[in-house]
Amino acid sequence: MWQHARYRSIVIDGDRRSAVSMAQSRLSFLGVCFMAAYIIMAVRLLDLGIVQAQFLNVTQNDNGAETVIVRDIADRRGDVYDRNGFLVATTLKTPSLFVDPSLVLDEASLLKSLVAVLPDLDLENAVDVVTADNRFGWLAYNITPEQQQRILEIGDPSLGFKYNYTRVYPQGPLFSHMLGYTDRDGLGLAGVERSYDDVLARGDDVVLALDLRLQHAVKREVARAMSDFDAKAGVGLVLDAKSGELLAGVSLPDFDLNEASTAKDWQKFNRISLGVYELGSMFKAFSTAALLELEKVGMDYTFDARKPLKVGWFTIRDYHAQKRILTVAEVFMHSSNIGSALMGQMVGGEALRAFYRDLGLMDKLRFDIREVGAPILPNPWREDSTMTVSFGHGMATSPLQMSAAMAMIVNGGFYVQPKVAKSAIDDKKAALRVLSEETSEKMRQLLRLVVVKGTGRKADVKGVAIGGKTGTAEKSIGGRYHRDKLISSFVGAFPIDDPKYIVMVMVDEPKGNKSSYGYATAGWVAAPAVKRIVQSMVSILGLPADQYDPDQDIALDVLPYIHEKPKKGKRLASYD
Amino acid sequence: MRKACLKYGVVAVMLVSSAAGLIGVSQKVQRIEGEIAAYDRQVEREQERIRVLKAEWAFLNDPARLDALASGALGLGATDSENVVSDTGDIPDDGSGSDAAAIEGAIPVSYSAQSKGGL
Repeated sequence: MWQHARYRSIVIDGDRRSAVSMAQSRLSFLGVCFMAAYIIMAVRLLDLGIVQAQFLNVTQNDNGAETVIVRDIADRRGDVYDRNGFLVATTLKTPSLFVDPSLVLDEASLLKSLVAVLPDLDLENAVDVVTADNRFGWLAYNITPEQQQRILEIGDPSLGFKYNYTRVYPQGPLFSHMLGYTDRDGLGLAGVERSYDDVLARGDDVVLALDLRLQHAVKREVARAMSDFDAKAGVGLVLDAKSGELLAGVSLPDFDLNEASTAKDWQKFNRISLGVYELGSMFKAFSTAALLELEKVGMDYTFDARKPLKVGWFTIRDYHAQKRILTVAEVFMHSSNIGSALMGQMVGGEALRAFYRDLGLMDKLRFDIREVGAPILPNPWREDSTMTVSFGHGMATSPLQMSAAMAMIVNGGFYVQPKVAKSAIDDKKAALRVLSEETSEKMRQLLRLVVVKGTGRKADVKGVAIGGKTGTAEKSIGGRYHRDKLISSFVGAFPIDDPKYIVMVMVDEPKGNKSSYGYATAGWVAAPAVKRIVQSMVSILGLPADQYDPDQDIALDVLPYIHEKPKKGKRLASYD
Repeated sequence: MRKACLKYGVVAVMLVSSAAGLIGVSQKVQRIEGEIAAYDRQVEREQERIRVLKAEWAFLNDPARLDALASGALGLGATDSENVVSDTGDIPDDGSGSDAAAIEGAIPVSYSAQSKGGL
């Protein structure tokens, strides 16, 4: 049938023909319109999606005013590990318990079973929550998985859990001041948590330079020194003398990082890098190094320490005056204030300031966490300031800043920038020389001499050659120095032939006891603590402790410059 | 006419069978997707558990705790530097016949039971 239609196509004529052709042309016109609309849309889509896409992004980034910097926040904050891979901070998904009071059948039995699981439950508050006329109330925050399991076993339909992320510090207070803590929303508020917040918030891990085991050993010994001498506060640190890595940093009193919100300000205060103290005679190492470096004098050069030195309204005295002419080595060994002041005078204020600046003592310490205290310098710096600063009087630095400068003195003379995180970017200054190898070697001999024959004898560890310097300073409170309020500290370096570690202990306001014959000076308080830390380090790090040869002791090189005064009766050493 | 009927019939059968096959495949995909989601949840749960266990491990290995246990329960103290020798040949023979080398692995002795190397 339809085959015929091919041959006999319908022919329409007249008015009907014009009507059909008009309809056809309208249809095709409409078709063209739609097609054009679709093509326009497709082209625009391509334009926006592909051609303009890059361009739009670029303008947004270029226009600083419109770009809002938002913290790149991952689901979960990154973990923190110590240098050996021990976990020291992590984020866990913890359940918090809530109750729907309208579903509670028997308040008393519910509370009874809850108390059995949660002994710390605030019962008065819990009663209020459970009997409230609403549909939601918190009962306990961040409970343990075990507790959650036991609550599930109660099987009460009115109880429920909500999950949130909680920062957990497994070692509690051990790393308090260096590691820091976060607020409830996971924003770092102190220490590494604050200064590495961008890394951690991204979800990346941070590896510390700190060593968990050394941190504990240092804390134990500082705490012991504090309790032995009934002290207010204490600091202990171990610094890598070459790389500047902080292997341990302890500030006591401390606080449990898991309960940072309840810690008091005196617990939170970072005495390692934020607190600045007059550290006393330790500065004699810096002024002596300045003398040896800049004036090129020998160990046999002498200073007149026969009588106290009057400088303006101030008189410089020696604690245990030798009352004679001392060589450079003797000034250092006997920790003579008069001799050191004369050394500073010889170097000159300008040169001494420049030398201290090279050691990083004049400016705020460069450290990778932000709690850093600027040193307090004599202002204005007068002629007598040069002399007092030479024996550590009138100038305050943080224990870490002083330790870093000591590292530069003993490590061959290279700049040291302390850092608490392994991932800290190496500073280009690391290879910068601040003093000569010869001066550094002489200083190592003098520091060893202090431990062999001087005020640091109680820091001597059998089998390990350790060098160091004591520092006992009177605390300045309200512009007055107090004889009975001391800061006693010791900084040690070992093995002294080529020091790898700087160990420093500072004790705030120690009180003398029977075993120290009433003395609270550095040699009695801080030096034994450093000794015990070094002993622990030997066993923890597996350091050789039987390589020391007394016949090769570097202190022997400076011994010819020590002229002992004939002993007049027996007198107790104060080790200051 | 019959030809056309046959043609439409074949097309209809093909349509129905392909639709049925498609539904089958889509059901299977949905089931597998469900399984994957379940596995994902399980992996997530296990990972969370591992995190908790790691934190617990770190908590139990807290040196302060180990120190207290070692000194309290075992009466151990910090090792003195004199107890550390680099060469086991330096250890005098105690006459018991035991080889000095047998205790080589224990030297140097750390005051705590931790070892290097992390978790």
